[in-house]
Amino acid sequence: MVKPVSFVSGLFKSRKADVIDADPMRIHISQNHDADRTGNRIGIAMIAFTVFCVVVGGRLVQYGVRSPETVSSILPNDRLLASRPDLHDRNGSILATDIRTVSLYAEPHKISDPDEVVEQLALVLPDLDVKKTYRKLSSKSRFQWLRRQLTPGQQSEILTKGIPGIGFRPEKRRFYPGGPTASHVVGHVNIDNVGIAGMEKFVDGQGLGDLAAVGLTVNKTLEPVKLSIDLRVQHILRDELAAAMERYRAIATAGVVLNVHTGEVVAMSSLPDYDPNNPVDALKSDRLNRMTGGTFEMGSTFKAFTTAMALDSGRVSMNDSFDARKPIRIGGFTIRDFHGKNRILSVPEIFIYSSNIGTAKMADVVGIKGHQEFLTRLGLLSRMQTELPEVATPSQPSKWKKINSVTISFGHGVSTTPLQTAVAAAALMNGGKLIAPTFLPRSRAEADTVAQQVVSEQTSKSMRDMMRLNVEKGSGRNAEVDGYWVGGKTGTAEKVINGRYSSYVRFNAFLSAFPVDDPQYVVLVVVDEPKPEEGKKYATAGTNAAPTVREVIRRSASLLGVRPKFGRNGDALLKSY
Amino acid sequence: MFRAFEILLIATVLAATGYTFYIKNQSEDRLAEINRLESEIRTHTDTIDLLEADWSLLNQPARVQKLIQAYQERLQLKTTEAEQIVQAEELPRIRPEPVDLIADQIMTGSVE
Repeated sequence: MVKPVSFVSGLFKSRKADVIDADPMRIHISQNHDADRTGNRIGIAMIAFTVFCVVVGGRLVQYGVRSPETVSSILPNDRLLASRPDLHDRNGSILATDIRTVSLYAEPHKISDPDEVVEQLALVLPDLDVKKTYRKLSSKSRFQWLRRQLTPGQQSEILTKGIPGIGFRPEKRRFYPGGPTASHVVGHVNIDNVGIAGMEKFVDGQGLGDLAAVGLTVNKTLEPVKLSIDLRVQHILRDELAAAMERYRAIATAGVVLNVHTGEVVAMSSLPDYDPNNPVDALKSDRLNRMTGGTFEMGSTFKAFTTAMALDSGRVSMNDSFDARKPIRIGGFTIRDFHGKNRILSVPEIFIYSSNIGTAKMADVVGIKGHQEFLTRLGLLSRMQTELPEVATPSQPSKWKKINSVTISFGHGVSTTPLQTAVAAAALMNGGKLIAPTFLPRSRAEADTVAQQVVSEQTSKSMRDMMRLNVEKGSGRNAEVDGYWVGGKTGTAEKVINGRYSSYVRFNAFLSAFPVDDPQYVVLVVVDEPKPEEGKKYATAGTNAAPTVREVIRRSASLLGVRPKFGRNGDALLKSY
Repeated sequence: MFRAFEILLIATVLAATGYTFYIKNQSEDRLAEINRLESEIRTHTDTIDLLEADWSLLNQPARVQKLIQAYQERLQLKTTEAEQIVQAEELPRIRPEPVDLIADQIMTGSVE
């Protein structure tokens, strides 16, 4: 604006300067007076036009600079909710999908005959509240919702009726066909379709969330994200956990089925859970995902790690024996055996009789430093790296003393997540390779690139033998499934109640692998605070967690592609005819 | 000559105008058709999505299990046990064809 004005004044100045400059003599010399007047007129015209142009130009600049007036706050339909990729299981079954529905609205001021409109709509929507709709349509308002989330069929039927004054608005809704089946793995979204838990949150973290935050939402269909979960196995696991929770009157149950060669989580469930379609319960404290989001003292299942450590150190062999006759007294505590044999036990015997004394002595051979280092190597003491956002950090004593090493050898004094325990167990079973767990499909070759050798092949072989022995002769007998060669270790941990270990409140676990001669899957089931089954006396892991594992394996092994084998060396024992 | 040329020009102009209008009309029709098809595709894709969701709902293992329990008595359905699963190579050898006794004797005879 300033510049054109100065230009105009410049024009004036130059004209004034002309007048001043002009020699009086030259006026006389100028012969044509008319020419001078014409010059003046042209000058005036020029000024007039310049002023006009400047005003027009100025206004244009003014309009250009001014921000547009807000006339509407309604966003375009497609930007209301961002598209999300579907989540599929490993076989392509839908775990989560967006369904695009339409909602019916009316603009009552455009409707002249509400009676007819109601009549027509009632033909398509028989359950329409006629009175209420009539009142809405005859109101003075300009916008009324009539029905949310119609099916496409209903929409096209209404469209063919050609009713004036009504319209449709597209809406998107996240839908989980399985309901609570895979709730803790899949997670859920909030009202704005943003993932806030589970894999939904992970998917958002992969860039989709950033795009949505700056308003760059894509409307085209996104490629579905495939998870490592197998919906059928997931259902079986959850179904069995739910049955166990009821049968043993437990406060919670949880379990995982893990592929030992790839680290893929094939099924994982923690009960009680919630329905992601209506996640009102999701944040209640008892709905926590116990497999990854809760840490527990795992109890005797830890003896598998202690035994593996002792064997892997080379200082203990399978033929060694330890004196388990006398309780260990240390720092004012007395360590006893639950199923005391009161004799000298060999390493496999210590394992199958779950001897606390023997295990503590094996840990003693390795030493405190070595013990801490071994558990760290197995990833049991640090926060697990995986896709799920809900991961708890394990806790360990700030300074390991002798008493800590002793209690940790049988699973007390260190809290870790059950999934971590299963992952470490998979390393003991698969030949010694520790593979970080994943919820996305992963091939064996990919897994081998991330795998770390943590124990020797020989140690892994010995552990497999002992796990099998424990199911054949030890505390895991209830986990036996004919043909699938289950191996496992029970764990009955006492829970800390008011600062003391209680012998009535327990955390039970069964850690298993099958088929044990060439393990394919690790199955871990934990039962929190079980009570004895009707008509039975005990509530140890062998009586509740082990049979739950048996049922999970019995129902899911064939779905997991594990071939049953019969006979000692796997030969078919069919009668030849 | 001159007149004829003018008439020709006018005719050309008229023809060109007519053709232009025709083309414009056609393209508008095509555009409307494209829009209609696009919206139809959108409706169909949405319907497919919805039906897929519906299918996976009907196909949920939890639902199938409930149905099996409900019709257990009528259909006599049973869980497949490990004993029932056998690989082809694990099957016992097929019994050899029954030997024809007379032919066998002849064979033996010829060897003698």
